[in-house]
Order: sequence, then C-alpha cells, then structure tokens
Amino acid sequence: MWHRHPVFSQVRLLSVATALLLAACLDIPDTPEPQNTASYVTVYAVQKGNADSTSLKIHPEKIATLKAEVHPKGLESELNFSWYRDSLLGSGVTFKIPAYPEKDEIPNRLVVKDGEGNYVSSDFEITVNSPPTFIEDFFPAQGDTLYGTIRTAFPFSWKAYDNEDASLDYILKIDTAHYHVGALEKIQQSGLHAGIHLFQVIVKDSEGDTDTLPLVKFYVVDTLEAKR
Amino acid sequence: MKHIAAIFATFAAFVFLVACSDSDQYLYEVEDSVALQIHAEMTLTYGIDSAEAWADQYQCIDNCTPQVIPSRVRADTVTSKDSVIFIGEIMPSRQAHYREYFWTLDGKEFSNDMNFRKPVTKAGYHEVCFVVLDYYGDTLRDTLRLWVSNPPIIETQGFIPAIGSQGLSPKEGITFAWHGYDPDSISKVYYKLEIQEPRGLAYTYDLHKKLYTASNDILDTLLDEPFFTYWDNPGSYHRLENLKFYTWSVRAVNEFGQESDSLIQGEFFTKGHRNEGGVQTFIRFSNESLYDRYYFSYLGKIHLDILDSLSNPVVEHEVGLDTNQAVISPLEPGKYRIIASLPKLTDFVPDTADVTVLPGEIVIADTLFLKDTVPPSNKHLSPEGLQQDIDTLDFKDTLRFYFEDHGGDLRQEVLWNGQELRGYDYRNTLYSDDHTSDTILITLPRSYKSWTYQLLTLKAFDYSGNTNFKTYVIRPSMEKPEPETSSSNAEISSSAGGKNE
Repeated sequence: MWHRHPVFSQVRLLSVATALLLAACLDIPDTPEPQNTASYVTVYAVQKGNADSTSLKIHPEKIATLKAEVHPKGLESELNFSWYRDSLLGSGVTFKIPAYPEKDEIPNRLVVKDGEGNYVSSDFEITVNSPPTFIEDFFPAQGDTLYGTIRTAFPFSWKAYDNEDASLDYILKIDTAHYHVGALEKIQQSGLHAGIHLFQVIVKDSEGDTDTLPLVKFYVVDTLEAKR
Repeated sequence: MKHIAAIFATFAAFVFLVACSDSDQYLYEVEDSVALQIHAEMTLTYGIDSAEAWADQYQCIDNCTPQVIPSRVRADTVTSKDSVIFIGEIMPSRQAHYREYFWTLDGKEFSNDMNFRKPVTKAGYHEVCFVVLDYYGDTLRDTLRLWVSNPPIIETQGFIPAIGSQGLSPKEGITFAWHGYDPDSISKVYYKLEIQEPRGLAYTYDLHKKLYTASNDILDTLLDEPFFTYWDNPGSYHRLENLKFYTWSVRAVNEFGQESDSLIQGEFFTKGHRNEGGVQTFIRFSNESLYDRYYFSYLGKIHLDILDSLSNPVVEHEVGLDTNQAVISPLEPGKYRIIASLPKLTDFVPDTADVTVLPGEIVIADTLFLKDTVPPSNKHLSPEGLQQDIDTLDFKDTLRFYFEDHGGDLRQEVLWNGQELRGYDYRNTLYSDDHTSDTILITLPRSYKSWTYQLLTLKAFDYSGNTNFKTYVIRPSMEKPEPETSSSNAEISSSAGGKNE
C-alpha cells in the first residue's frame, strides 16, 4: 500500500494556488476606447482672410473672427467651446468680434469641455491696432519740379497718423536708395541729378502695421549748370 | 550546543580582526590636512599679468599715477571672435590632494584642462565655473562672469544728409539720419554724433584718404535713436554759421561700451542768403611737413587773394598752415580768381584757380598746389663771415658753411671721404631768426689730418624733395712722410747707437 508523504500533498496545494493566480493574471483588459478629449487648443484671429495665432492682432475697423482649433483634430463636434472675459461671452468653435469693439467684447479665455467633464483652456490677449495712415500732405508732390544741382539738399516731408502710436518709424525711398529716418517727418537730401526721380515713404507702427505713400514722381532741373 | 559553539567562534574571529587593524591611521588629523583654495581668472592675452610687472615695464615719470591695466580679470565683455584664455589655480599647489577638476559653461561641461583657450561664441551672459573636487569629496567652485557681445553695426551707405550737401539751414532744422543695429539683438544701440568745424585736412600716409582736423566742436552728443535734428541755438557759443563748411560723424556704441568698427563721416554746407554764394578751396604743399608746423610763426600763414573778373581784389584771406581748407563767403555771384601764396616761404610758387560763384551755393575750386622746386644753396663761410663760393679749402679745426632755403626747414648730412663724419650732429647748427638760413659748424678731428687731398661732402635736403650735394676738396694738412728705406733704417739705428754711446 502506498503511503503518501506529507511533502507531496503540500507541493500539490502550492501548484494549484499558483495556477489559480496565473489564471487571474490572464484576464486581459479590453481594447481602450478611442480618445475623445482634446489635449490642447489653439486660438486663431481671422481677419481679411488672414489667420494669425502668434500676434493675435486685429484691426478695429473690420469684423474679426476668433477660431479655436483643438488637437487632435476632428473632435470639434463632440466638444463644448466657451469664450470668456470675466464672464461668458459666447459659445462655439468660432467667436465674432464686431468692428470697433469695446475691450469687454473681446474674449481672453477659451475653455473646451468634453461630455465627461474633462476640459482644456487657453488664455490669450487680442491686440486691436489701427494701422498708421499717411496724410495727403507731402513734399515733393506728384509731378513737382525742383530747381538746384546735384549738391543741393532738397526738402522732403510727409506725415502719418496713428491712433495708438505717438512715434512712428519711417523708411524713405528716393529712387533706389533706402533711408531709415526713424521718426523724422522731414529731411533734406542731395545727390539728385537733373531728370526724373521717384519718392516713396513707408511707415510702420510699434505693432508692425504699415502704410505706404503712393509712389511720387518729381523732376529736378539744374538751372545753375548753364551758368558755370 | 553546536549553535553556542558557532556563535562563540564568530565573535572570537571578529575580536581578532579588530585587534589586528591600526585604526589610528584612519583618524582625521587637522595638522595633516591641507585646506584647498581655488582661483579662476581669464584673459585675452598672455601679456603683462600684474600691476607690478606693468609698472616695471613703464616707469612713471614726474610723480604721475602709473596706469595699471590688469590683463587678467574675473568678469569681462568679449566678442564672439575672441579666444579667451581661462586660467585655473589650485592652492597651495597643484600637488595638493584633489580628485578631479573641470570647467563648466552655464552648468554644462566646458573643459577638463586646468588652463585652456577657447572662444565663447553664443552672445549673451555666461557663467564659466572652475570646479574642483577635493580629497574628501567636497566641491570647490569659482565662477567667472562673461558677456559675449559683438560690436554694433552702422551702415556707412544710405545716410542723410549725403556727403557735400549744400544749402542746409540751421534755422529750419538740419536733419541727420542713419541706420545701425546690434547683430546679436541683446543690447540697445546708442549713437555718438559729432558736428565739427574743420580746420583742414590731413592726408594719410598713402595720400589718398583725407581726415579733417577739427578746430571747433559744434556738437558732441550720445543719442538713443538713429536720427537727430540740429536747431540753431542763439545761446550756443559755437553755432553753425551761414555759408560755411562743416563735418559730421556718427559711430554706434552698445551697452557694453563696444563701438562699431566703422563710422559715418559726412560733410555739408550751410545755407546763405538767396543771392550769395561762396568758394571752398583746398591748399596742398609740396612740403607735407608744413601741415604740422602751423605753430611756427616764422613759417607764416597761407595768403589767399580773391580777385574779381577785372582783377580787382575783393577779399584777402589768411589762414594757418594747418587750415589748408578754407571757405570764403559770402561772395556775390560772378567769376573770381583765387591766388594762394606763402609770403614767408618764397620758394613756393603761388597757384591760382578760377571759379564761378553761383547764388546759394558754395563752389569748390580746384585744389591749389603750392610747389617748391628751388633747391637749398650752400656756401663756405670765411673766418670773417664772408660767403665764399669756392671748392677747395684748407684743413681747419672748425669749418663753417652757410645754407639758404626759403621753403621751410632743412636737413643736412656731412660725409668725409664718403663716410659719415664722426661727431657731427644737428646741434652744430645755428639758425637765422627767420629760419631761411642755417650755418653749420664742422669740427674736424685731428686724426683726419692727412698729407693727401680729402673730400668733404655736404648734403642738404628740404622737405619738398629738393636737394643740394656739394663736395669740397680739403688740401693736405701735413707733410708727406719720407718713404722708409733700408739705408735710412740703418742711419736711424746708427744714430741711436751713437746716442747710446
């Protein structure tokens, strides 16, 4: 008759326990559901067909649109977009800013929520900047004739205004030469031989908005050369 | 029982091992330890490295404060092109106990050498740290501070007003504009603007470029914008006058005090009344050294005569020798002749230029070139002081010669038989009051006496390139010695023998 040693019964018990444990580990989880939560959101300012997400600058005289873009893309329909400035200003993927807006009409925070209460937000600041504009008061005017020699310092003057900027930066173009003239609005320059010349000024404000004076054609007549 | 025996054996072994070890040598002894100190420095050159060495090299005269320029520093501003020498030092000596040393640049590995040379190319502020781990694992650090910045750039093309601009009015505001920037975009750029009234022009050694020498500073200012408008200020001592010539210059400077390599140098003319003009003339001499000798009154000044078309004198103008540029204004429009001369230097031939002055403009006349083609003259002076145009002279202890030139200073050389005369220098020269003549005294050494004819050559140079070389023949100054023969030797020998007797 066989007698079973006590050690053998302990080993069998241990094997069964191990098998049960391993079987429990084999409970493989289900395939995860596709993620429907935005990881981050980008705000664009769209005006005159240009979309800008870096400077977020708009001109006040035209309607502008703020547009949200979530990442990963394609989730917009499943998410809720809220535009705030202190309080809720509007909902939706886009937000329209009216022309000449007041400051409290422009949102500075976007909150994007999914159906399960997850959300991402973006804080931003929209810059409303009027571009500089030249006044139609410049010299020489279109078709003017200046009298002098190549060494005569002829006057050039112009003026632009800007609602926000006290100081503007001008670049003067005389024929092919460019001059950085800073905030000067009149200069005298020589080196113009007798004949046709072109004059143009570009103005830039501190926000980088520009205006360009229409190209001016003028004439130089050397009245002294014949007397030499 | 067995268990008790095993425990006892283990305890005995432990006691035995402890007893065998000399633990004293592992104790920290203050006297044996050496406190390490480290020091880091940097320099751009392996030059003079201490104030003492500098003072030794450049001795201070007249109780002045010696100028000490330390070449090794702990904080500095360099350009990205500079190769900086970093110097680490571990004291008391490099043999002191330490585990390792290394350098970091902004916390990242930079070098494992004690001393090394390396550029730091990234613009901005940097911390260069010398790190030493000592024998006990402690870390010692010494940090150097370094600003890397390249000099600002100023564009030397495209500025306002263009060179030679005419008709600028201080009362209506004269505008200056240029373009400069910091290539690293880390520093604000300032601009050093100067407006000067030039006295003349100085030619560089290659005689091409010209640099104006200033007499009056009209404006000297530092701006933080690349433009400026000059307005006439009646309260200013130096003002821009009508129908005159001025120069201006601007150089960019950044916040580290680095100046731009290039600068803008411009010139302009101011406005006058509607029916007035002027003439600008430049004067050059064949004797370039005259520019620097304006303070010698004996050389006189430049005389400018302005004659109208009928040769009637209109204006007389006198300017210093360094004022070799002059504007004569106001003049009525018309034809003029300018005559430039040097009344006290008559070797210079006057030069003329014809110009037409136009209203509202300063016309630039052709450069007037005053040329001296007359070489210096040279004559012997008799003991009575008479000038002698002779070629052959007796040997004398002192010979006197007279040089005359009316074109400025002279330089002489004296040769004896083609070789430089010993003992002669410029201090042997006597000058006349008007410096038109020099008398040189030549002392002939006794050893120059000879029974043959000798040659004394005198060379005189003026600074216009004219020369006078004259060679005098010096007559024999001793008897010709009798030729030594065998019979005469015998006679001498015999005679000597007789005396002895």
